[in-house]
Amino acid sequence: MSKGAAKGASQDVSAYLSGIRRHLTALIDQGALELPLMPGVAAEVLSRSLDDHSDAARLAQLISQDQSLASHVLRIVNSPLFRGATEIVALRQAIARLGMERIREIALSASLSGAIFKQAEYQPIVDRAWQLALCSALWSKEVARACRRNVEIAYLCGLLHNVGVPLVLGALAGVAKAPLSSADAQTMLDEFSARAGTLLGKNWKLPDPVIATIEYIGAFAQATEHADAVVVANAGRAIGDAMLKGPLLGSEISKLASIQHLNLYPDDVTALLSARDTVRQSMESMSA
Amino acid sequence: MNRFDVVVIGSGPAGQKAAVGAAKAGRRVAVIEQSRNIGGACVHFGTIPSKSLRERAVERRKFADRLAALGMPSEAPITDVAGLIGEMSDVIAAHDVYMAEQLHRNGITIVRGRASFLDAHRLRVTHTDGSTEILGGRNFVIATGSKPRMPANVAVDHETIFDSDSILSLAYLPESMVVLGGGVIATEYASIFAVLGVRVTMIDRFPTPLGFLEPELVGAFLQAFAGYGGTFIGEADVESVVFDGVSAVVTRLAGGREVRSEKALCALGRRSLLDGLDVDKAGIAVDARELIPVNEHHQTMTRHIYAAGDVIGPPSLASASMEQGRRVACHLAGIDPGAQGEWLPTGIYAVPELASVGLTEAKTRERFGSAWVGFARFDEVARGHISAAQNGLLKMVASPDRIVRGVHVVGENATEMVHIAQMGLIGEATIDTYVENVFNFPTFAESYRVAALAVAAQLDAGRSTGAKNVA
Repeated sequence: MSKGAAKGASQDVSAYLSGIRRHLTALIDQGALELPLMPGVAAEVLSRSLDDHSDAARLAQLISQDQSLASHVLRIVNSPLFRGATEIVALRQAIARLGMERIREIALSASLSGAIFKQAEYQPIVDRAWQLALCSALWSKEVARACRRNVEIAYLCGLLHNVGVPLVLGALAGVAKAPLSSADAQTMLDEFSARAGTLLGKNWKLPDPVIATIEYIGAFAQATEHADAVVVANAGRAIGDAMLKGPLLGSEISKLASIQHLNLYPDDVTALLSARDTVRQSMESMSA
Repeated sequence: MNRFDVVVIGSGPAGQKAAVGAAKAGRRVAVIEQSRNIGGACVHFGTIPSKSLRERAVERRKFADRLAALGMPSEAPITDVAGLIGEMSDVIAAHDVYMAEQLHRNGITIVRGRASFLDAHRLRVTHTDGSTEILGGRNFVIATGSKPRMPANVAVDHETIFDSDSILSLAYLPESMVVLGGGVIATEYASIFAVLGVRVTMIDRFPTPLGFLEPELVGAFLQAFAGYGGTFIGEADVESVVFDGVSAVVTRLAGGREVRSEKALCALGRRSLLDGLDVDKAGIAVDARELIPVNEHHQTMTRHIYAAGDVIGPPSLASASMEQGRRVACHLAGIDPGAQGEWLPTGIYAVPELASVGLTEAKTRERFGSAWVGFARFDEVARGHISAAQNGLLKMVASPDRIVRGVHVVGENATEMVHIAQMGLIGEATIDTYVENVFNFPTFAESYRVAALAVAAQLDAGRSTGAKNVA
């Protein structure tokens, strides 16, 4: 291809991407972005995660209403991390073994994974986003514990921080003539996923700290409400991202802006990262 | 190496007062603070947050009770913890700004980091990014405070089982809570959560909570606590506290009894915070309780190094720590700090408030041969009815020479009211002082006259309080 032809093709791509960008902007600005319904179980579980007065029977009943979810939960609780001496064959038994809170987390994760984090044309990106969500949730809990922040909220913030990713990819699939390259798709995600996720969060009436996290996780210093939850999730995501990419190095984690904002010293980071094996096992089990 | 006249480690009540006092005396001062914010645990985990939460809890409870009295009972329980905590955070933020400005105004250098002694004249400060710097000082003040004590049999996870530093991270009010301990922190949080509608069970190894207070005050507290749905289990040995992995924290007591609750708070005291400070490298040895021994000037065994606040042990009150910090600054500057005040008031911000100053009835009897005691119940003073705060009492203790030796108050404004008695103690006021002088009407302070009249009546009749006047 001649230089002129290459330049022309590049201008075409640029114009094409600009068109997609305008389209996505309009969808979000006009509130016309197609928002999925919250999975029924997720809605129930979320509504209870800040009001922990439900009983085990009700939780088991909720999960059992969704056959694929129930089998998914049973598969996870029978994974090497959670399984005890005997196989778990019933949801009530699973709750008795692992506890309400853990089963809630598993059910919420599984229902979001099955219903939201699906997008055939960009599945590798969605899969990676889901892995990051899960890993962020688990690390956010540990960060919260280390900083004496709320552990339960931290999990939710970490899990849902990038819920806008599949939305934007879904919109791209509807707008673009063919799937964008990974790099171009990532550019769109960087630009739109927080806004799309925030729309979804408000539509789903997610807890306020979760909405603040979705909106500001990339710029935690700008969060004026629930700043603590946002910065904890930012740190959880950064550690989770690092873990997914390779070995966790305390010296690198210590340099993160959110870790410094949370006032975690190198000794604290070393203690924090000692949870890496537990997190890794939980990841493997919950991704089962 | 950066050199200062005075290096203060910790910016809590003791450190702050020492730093400001030294700076005002012309010293070049640095304060090392390991947290992001100034003020220490007092501002961020202890004194200010719990008192702020208490005020808001009481406000909401009063509002709900008032609605009920007007025939408009509120169905909704008090559950907006986020709102309560949010309001509390505003108070903390305002206090933080005020204190930081005070340090800046006095030209004090604030160094963020963790300190450790290299020797008796140098400190290494490690920052959060791992970088370090060395600070030198002519004098040092160790005011690093304390942190919650963590018994091995209590599995604190900050998610289901909290300590007093993490309890305020709660996002919702649990249905039930076990509070371990019977001291000040345990009593405050137990009553605050009970007022908010949480079913609270306090468990302690002593027969009653707050055993250092007069039994009448403790009785009034327990009565109010029970009224809010709280339960106190005394003389209990806790064997273990664990989350059962399902939905409950299980507190196992010796003898096989179990108490199940949704959450638990471990408030079994605090220990000095000296982790990583390496005081031994500065020639300082801690005692068996891990406290730093000091002389009357707050000098440690390495004389140019001072210690103040929780690191030197009781009374571990913010008010006392501030005074210790001031005294350190005075000694550093060669200024006479004045006589050490003999009468230190104690304030417990439970619901209801409790406060005490001076001698108890038993101590008065022990020291003076007999004790003359008068009570004033808040339902006997007009202000109690006006403020719908009849559940309170004031106990006045006098010696046979009519001098008031101690005053103990439970009820609304107790922590403020007790200062009248403190001034009286300093001036050795007699019961006649309280009888013959006029207080505003209607006020809770009127209780002083009521109690003093009761003592006067007994003295004039020549009888003290039954067997209590027997030496």
